[in-house]
Amino acid sequence: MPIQHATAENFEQLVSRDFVIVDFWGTTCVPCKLFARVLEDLDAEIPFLNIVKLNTTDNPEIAEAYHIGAVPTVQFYKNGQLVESHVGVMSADDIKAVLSEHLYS
Amino acid sequence: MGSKVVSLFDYHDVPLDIPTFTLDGEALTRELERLANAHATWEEGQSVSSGDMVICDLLSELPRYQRNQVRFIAGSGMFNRVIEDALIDARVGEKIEVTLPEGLVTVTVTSVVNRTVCPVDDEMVRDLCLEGVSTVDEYRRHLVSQQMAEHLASIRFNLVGEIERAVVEGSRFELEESDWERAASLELNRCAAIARQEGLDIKTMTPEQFAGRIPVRSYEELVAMTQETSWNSLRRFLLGRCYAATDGFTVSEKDYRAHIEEYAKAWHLTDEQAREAQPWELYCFTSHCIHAYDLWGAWVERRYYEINDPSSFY
Repeated sequence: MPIQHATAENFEQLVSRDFVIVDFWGTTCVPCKLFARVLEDLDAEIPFLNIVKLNTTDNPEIAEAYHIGAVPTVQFYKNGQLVESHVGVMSADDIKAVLSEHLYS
Repeated sequence: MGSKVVSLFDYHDVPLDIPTFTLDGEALTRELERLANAHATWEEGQSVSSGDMVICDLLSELPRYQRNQVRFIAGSGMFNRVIEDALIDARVGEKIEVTLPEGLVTVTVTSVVNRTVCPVDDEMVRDLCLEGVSTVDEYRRHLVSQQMAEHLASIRFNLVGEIERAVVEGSRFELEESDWERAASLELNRCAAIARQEGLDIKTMTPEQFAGRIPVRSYEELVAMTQETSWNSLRRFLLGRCYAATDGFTVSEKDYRAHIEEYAKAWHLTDEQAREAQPWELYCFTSHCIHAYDLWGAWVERRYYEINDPSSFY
């Protein structure tokens, strides 16, 4: 599934699907660019993942509403509920560990 | 400002020890594989290979493995590494017993979607929409250029620092204390404005409030640090201004407005707040410092590519 780029208008709708990985990133954040590559690789490897990216520079109101204090912040939602949150870059293996714990629970 | 450069040491004469570039062939291959992977195709299949999508029914006394139509990628580790590995070469309809440390799981493969990755071709490259890059060969060159640019970026800061030190040491300046005070004031005022915008008074900030913002513990330390660095800032500004006098570099109101707009957007400020933190005088001062850095950086870059000819790595 292609990586979705959320806006203030569709963010809630996008994170309410069955299982969603959300990447809160910033325009000038270098680690965010590194993490973007991790997500692109993961998307190519596991095509049925729902991955949503939100640019906190362009959408500060969403970042504030979701208490994002640093980027990148990675959040995992299951049926619209936050099940895991991580500040900083995650490796593909770290993400798979979260998938293993929550996607099949 | 009354301060000035009396004699200028030519930065072209600073000896630079430019490292040679070594191509990382593995990284190059990885990037080409990333492109190919992004264009992988998925088709219904009959047997499981690593990387394929598998749908199966699970039977076990273990609650986690009592479910049907579980979907995962074989060999990815996203579900259970032992089960995923045990399914390699299994066929649709086949039933496999997997012994996990916690118990037995019976897996019936109900569906397999094979993943096929083709070699990189020109069409994949064109999909990247990189300017001037439309073939695999051109993409390979682009990746080499990227590696070289990253290598240069990693050494550039130190080399520019070497140039600055040599130019400052080799040049003669006439420095006026009032200009040094002005340079220090510009920086202190900037810090004060940013603090004010965060609801803080720079003069009464506590060590905790400074932590993570400025590497000092008190306003007095900040003043001391700024005063110490302001001689160098002043010299850098004077060098930038000296270069500008001969190469035509100018600071314009238009550039300033664009800078303020960008600054306000990046820090979520109003135009007025951005101008308070970045007044015109500070912008002019900083722009000349940056101009000197840019010239030195461009010289480092030129010397780098003279020593490391990109075409020899294509």
